[in-house]
Amino acid sequence: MRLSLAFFTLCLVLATVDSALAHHSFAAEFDGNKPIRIQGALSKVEWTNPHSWFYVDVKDEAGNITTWGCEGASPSVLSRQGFQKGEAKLGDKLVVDGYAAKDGSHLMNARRIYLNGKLIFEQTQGEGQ
Amino acid sequence: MKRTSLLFGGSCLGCKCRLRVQALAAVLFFALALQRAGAQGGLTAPEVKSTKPSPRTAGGHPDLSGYWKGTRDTKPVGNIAKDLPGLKLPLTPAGEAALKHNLTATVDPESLCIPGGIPRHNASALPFEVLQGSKKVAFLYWYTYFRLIPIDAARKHSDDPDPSFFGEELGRWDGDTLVIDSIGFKDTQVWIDENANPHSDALHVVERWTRPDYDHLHVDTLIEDPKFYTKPFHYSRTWVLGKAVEELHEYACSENNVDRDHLQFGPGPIRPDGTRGFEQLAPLPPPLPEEKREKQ
Repeated sequence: MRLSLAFFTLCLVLATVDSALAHHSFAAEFDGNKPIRIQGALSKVEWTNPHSWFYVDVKDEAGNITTWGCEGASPSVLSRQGFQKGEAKLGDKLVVDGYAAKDGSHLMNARRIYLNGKLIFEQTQGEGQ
Repeated sequence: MKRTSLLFGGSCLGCKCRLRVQALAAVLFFALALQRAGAQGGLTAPEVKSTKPSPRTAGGHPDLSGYWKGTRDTKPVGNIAKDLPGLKLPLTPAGEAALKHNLTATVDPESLCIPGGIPRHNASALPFEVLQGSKKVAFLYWYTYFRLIPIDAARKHSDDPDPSFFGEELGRWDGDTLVIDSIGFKDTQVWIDENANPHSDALHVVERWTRPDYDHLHVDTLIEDPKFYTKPFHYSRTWVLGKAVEELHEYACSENNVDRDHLQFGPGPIRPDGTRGFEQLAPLPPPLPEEKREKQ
């Protein structure tokens, strides 16, 4: 049950088409004043329109698991990042920095992603605000 | 769970590698197509030089057919007030109330997979494709929306057209200009642009499309709506021709619209420059130190 990192990164590309396809304004769903960091295990990738999403199971100190849905950043940023070598699998550890949904749901707009400790994606300030 | 079943719903072990390669190729193609779709382009319209004249049809009219892409000099994109001093729309009191309603009580219809209609699509960042025939012209949009316009100078508007997002559209040639005259618009679940500005069912849009050379397409749009705007105003814009390999692709907006239940009313903050978004994002958590990363 492994996903190539290329595929995972491409999922992120697809996850970022909100700004590309203008499906919705970032600021209509996410709060630029609510930065957040989550850490957990990659549990699902949805390969669908209008956005692809990846999901991370986050375990709290009591052992309870909360699943966060993560939407990526702008495609122009990702195109500059390029695709990196390596592999990821469901269950691998992710640290995701981004902005939380305004409605308090467990959704976030991902701006920086570490996969097994390695920085694989970072969107600079000014893109897709 | 096998990788193939996770990604593609298949379980044919003998086909696994081939499926994976094919799927990755398809994914890459689709992703890059979407990246191209979203690109406003690094050039302004004047910076794109054309060495060829506008093509013409057998009937002698300019052929507007092509895949047309926005340029970075269209600022602010998605804002129908782009050409007005101070980005100030001439709203009537009813228009002001409608804007307030859109900002505080409606989710962007396009994010709910409802067609943006006209003139919103003309202000969009997204490319579009024109296919022109002798009697009809089709405008094809991302989201798999289209409008099909008859070209017939003798045709008149209906007395009571059924309201629609694109309106009742009639095309005719005025010299080398394709004129599209539209009435009969819906007045609910519509934003006239991405900034949630309103229009009513009294909207009347006159688009004047020209192709001044091979690589440019231009529209001047007259927008009249006496219910919501005190006077008519214009929205003008130029697109550049995409590469021969560029075209629209399927985009099933409602397949898995996770966002629809989480979007807030209105487009969010609007910056002084007329674009949507936060002026400054709060800083993200500090990057992980190298030693911390190694322990993850």
